[in-house]
Amino acid sequence: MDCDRAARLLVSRIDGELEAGVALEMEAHLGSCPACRAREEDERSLRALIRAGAPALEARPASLSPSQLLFRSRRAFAEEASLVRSLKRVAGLAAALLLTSGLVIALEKRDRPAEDFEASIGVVASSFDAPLEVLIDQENSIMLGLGQ
Amino acid sequence: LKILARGKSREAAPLLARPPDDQELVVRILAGDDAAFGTLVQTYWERLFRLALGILGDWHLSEDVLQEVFVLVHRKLGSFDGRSSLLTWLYRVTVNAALKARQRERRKSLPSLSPEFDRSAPGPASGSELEMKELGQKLLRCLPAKLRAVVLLREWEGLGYEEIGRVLGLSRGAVEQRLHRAMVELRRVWNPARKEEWLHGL
Repeated sequence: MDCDRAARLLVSRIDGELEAGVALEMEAHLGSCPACRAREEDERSLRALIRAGAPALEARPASLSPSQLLFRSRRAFAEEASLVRSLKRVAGLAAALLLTSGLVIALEKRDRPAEDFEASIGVVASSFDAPLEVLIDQENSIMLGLGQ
Repeated sequence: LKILARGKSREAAPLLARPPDDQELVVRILAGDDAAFGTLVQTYWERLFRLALGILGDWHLSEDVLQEVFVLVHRKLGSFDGRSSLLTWLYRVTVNAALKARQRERRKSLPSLSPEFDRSAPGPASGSELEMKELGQKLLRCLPAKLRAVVLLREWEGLGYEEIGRVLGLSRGAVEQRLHRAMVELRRVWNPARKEEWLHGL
């Protein structure tokens, strides 16, 4: 094992995450390489400092009382429900408008070949359900980690 | 009254005997049991708050993020599929919410250290506990948020590489690589011989 590889694997060694075979190779390398041994010492003391940096938390902040969180959750739920209702209303209106204009277009294109007629109806139909998806996008991205 | 009391004690007895496990908690919360949600908050707030605090370095912002996390958890618990442990899932939601909040608050973000810190003769890095704590927190701030999250999950939360990978959506190898990059960065900025400057000047 050379020093580059040893340096890359050092974190796994310190965390006990090396496979047994590699761990032995590593042990042998460290036995014969003072530079890598010094590096291991450095990394271990850096980690000790990082661990020491963990804050001691005593009492739960008042803002995290379950009753307050439940209240917020239910309010958010109610807000979302009413938003969905109004969006549905808007979407319904938009759909009606699109359908009407679609029919007008379709009637105008009555003389054209059949595929054209179906295509224009298809475009109108597929434009109905876009806005509702946008609503829950932000929350889902937090839940699923898509936002990074 | 007696009947009521008897009914109550019969319900309460198994809860006193052992704390409800995570799966049971999830089922009860989904069924609308507010007390079960209270148990979840009480069980996990400390670990999640510490993690958010480590990523954000700001108490008030971390409180906001944790509120957001618990409200989301209450509303979206149905999307927890049980493939990972509940705690892993909670860590995941918290890391994502904290990184998002960090993006939002970029302008107020913590000052990074000047890169001129050289590492000459390494000396003993001992000191009082308070000093260690301060140094540890300052060192963490030197890391970009995504590396910091890996380091925190490892050193503060004690997770293994597999589980860190599940929290962050990374392979085991990618976790190892990020930890290695974090250590390279920390060794680059840290010089024990200039501890006093770290404590007072930064």
